[in-house]
Parts: sequence; structure tokens; C-alpha cells
Amino acid sequence: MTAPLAKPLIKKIATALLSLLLAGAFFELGIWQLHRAHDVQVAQQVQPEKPIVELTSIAAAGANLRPVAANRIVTAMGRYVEIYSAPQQHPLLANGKKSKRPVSLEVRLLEISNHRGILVVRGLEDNSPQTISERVKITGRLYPRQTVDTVNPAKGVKEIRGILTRIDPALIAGQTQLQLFDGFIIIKGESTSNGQAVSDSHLASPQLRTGIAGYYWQHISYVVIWWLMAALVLVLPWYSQKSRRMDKVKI
Amino acid sequence: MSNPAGLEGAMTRFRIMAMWAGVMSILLWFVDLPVKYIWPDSTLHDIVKWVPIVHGFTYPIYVLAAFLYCIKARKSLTTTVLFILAGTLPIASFIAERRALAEFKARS
Repeated sequence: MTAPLAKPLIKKIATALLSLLLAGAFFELGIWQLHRAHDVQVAQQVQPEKPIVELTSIAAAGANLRPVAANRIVTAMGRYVEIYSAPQQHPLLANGKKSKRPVSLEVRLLEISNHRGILVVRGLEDNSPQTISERVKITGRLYPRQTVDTVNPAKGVKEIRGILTRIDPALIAGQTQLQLFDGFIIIKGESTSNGQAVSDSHLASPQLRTGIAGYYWQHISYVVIWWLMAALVLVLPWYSQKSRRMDKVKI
Repeated sequence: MSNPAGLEGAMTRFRIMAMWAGVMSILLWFVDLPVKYIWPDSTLHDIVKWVPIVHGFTYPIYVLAAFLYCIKARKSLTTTVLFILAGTLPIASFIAERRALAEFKARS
């Protein structure tokens, strides 16, 4: 007598447990998306600038750029030893977005003390590059190396000396005796050792914002979906049981 | 066999949302995602960024429409879940819409 009664009860308990489990999972997925929406919001905010520091105090040649060093405004003193061209670049605009028009940038290798060097983006490429033979002091923002080629390396561009398919010190590591710093600097100011400005037509160098996939409202919409799913899995089994009972009553 | 009261309205709402969800899924899968992951630096990204947001906010309406239709049509739990999930795949919601219409005509 107890067996036929126990079977529907066990089924009900199992359904309730499964519903609760799924609802809990969907609710947590909603919370996860809410956190991602928050992360997107935070990543889009401009962080307060930290004090300007010497390049050598926050980065080391021959080592990967540490995340805390990226985006810092640094100073370095040295002499330009090589000039490169970085074609088809979409430099960052002052608002942090990429320029839609591709341009060629002038990149130089700055040799600093102890046989070390760093790539420096001076600005738009000029047909007749400025001759700078004296030592310069530069101030600029430190960016992580580019990882995507802007020009198709399959066309043999990589082989042409003086052309950088991306701004990445690894591309010139075999061509110089200098020990290279990871990343590159986009200069904000450049002066000679006696304080005379060399050039004032520099690129914008806004903070690089963290790339988190998606948009704020996209993640919020996923929160709505997951929580709606959580509500549905709680309601659905009982609603379908109720409608089945109503059908039996009608019959 | 006749259709239950209110089924026609629920089915019309479901059909509209199924077609909408189908179009949005196609845009999401074949336009937004390729642009986002194959050409992440492309300026096209700014043009299509509305797609996941609109899809995200209209999918819950599809889910509700599918749920109410399945309740009115006395669908099983499994079929209800499949109808709800159909809104996430590009072609599936169109198939669900055709099936709902065919069933409705057969019962009329």
C-alpha cells in the first residue's frame, strides 16, 4: 500500500530538488554576468594618473613588461640609434578609441645606459625624418607590445629592414646588440639635455583600457535572461502538473 | 479536436517573437560574432555592437512568449524547454514557429 504512494512523493521531491538546483545555477550565472557588467564599467573608467617615474625603476630590459608598469608615464634619457616605420597603424585617439584612418608611424630605438634600448613612437612618419644626434630626454606612456601584425607578413614586409609589421621589440631583437625593454613608449615630450624641446607634434597617448568582452547593457540583458530562466525552472514543473490535473478534471 | 481558448493569441505572439529571435540570432551568429572574434580591431565592431544588446533584451520576451504558448498548447515539459532553447539557435526558432502553426491548423 505504501509503495504506490511513495513513488509520486519521491518523484515530486526529485523534481523539486532538480528545479532548485537548476534555479540556483541560473541565479549564479546571473550574478556572474552582473559582475562582468561591473568589470566592463570599471574598465571603461579612466584611472587616476600615477606619478611620473624613470623607465628603469618599473621595467627591466630583457624581461616581460609587468602589468603594473603598463600605462605608466615614464621618462628615459638616451640617444636614438635606429629609425623604423610602422605602417597601417590605427593609433589611439585622445578619447581612447582607435583611429579609423590607418597611418604610418615613426618609431625609433632609443639607446639608454648599459646597452639597453626601448622602442619609442615619436609621431606620424615624415618623408624626411628629423636628424637627432644628441642625447634626448623623453617623457611618454609605456604600452605593452603589439601582438597583431598591421601589415600582412606573408607579403614579405617583415623582411624589409626598417619596417615594423607591429610595434614589438621581438621583431628587431636579432638586428641590434642592445638588450631591449618589452613594450614601447608613445612620447608626450622630448627635449635635449639642455632642456630644448625637439618636437611638439606628438600622438595622443591615452590610457589603454582593459579589453573585457561585451558591453555593459549586453551583460545586464544576460542577467535578465538567467534570472528569468531561474524563475521558469521553479515554476514550470508545478505549472505543467497543475494544467495536467485540470485536464483530468475536465475529462 | 478544437484549440483551447486563448491559444490563437498566444500562438500569434509566439510566432512574432520566434521570427524576431531567429533574425536576431542570425545577426548574432553570422555578423556580430565573426566581426568580434575574427576582426576584433575592425571599425565594423562599432557598427554591429547593438546586435548582442538587442538580442539580449528581446530574448526574455521570446522565452515568455514560448512559455505561455506551450502552457496554452498543453505541451510537455521537454517540448517547452526545447521551444525556449530554440530562440538561441539561428534556424531553430523558425522551425518551432512553423511547427506551432502546423499544429494549430491541424487542430482547427
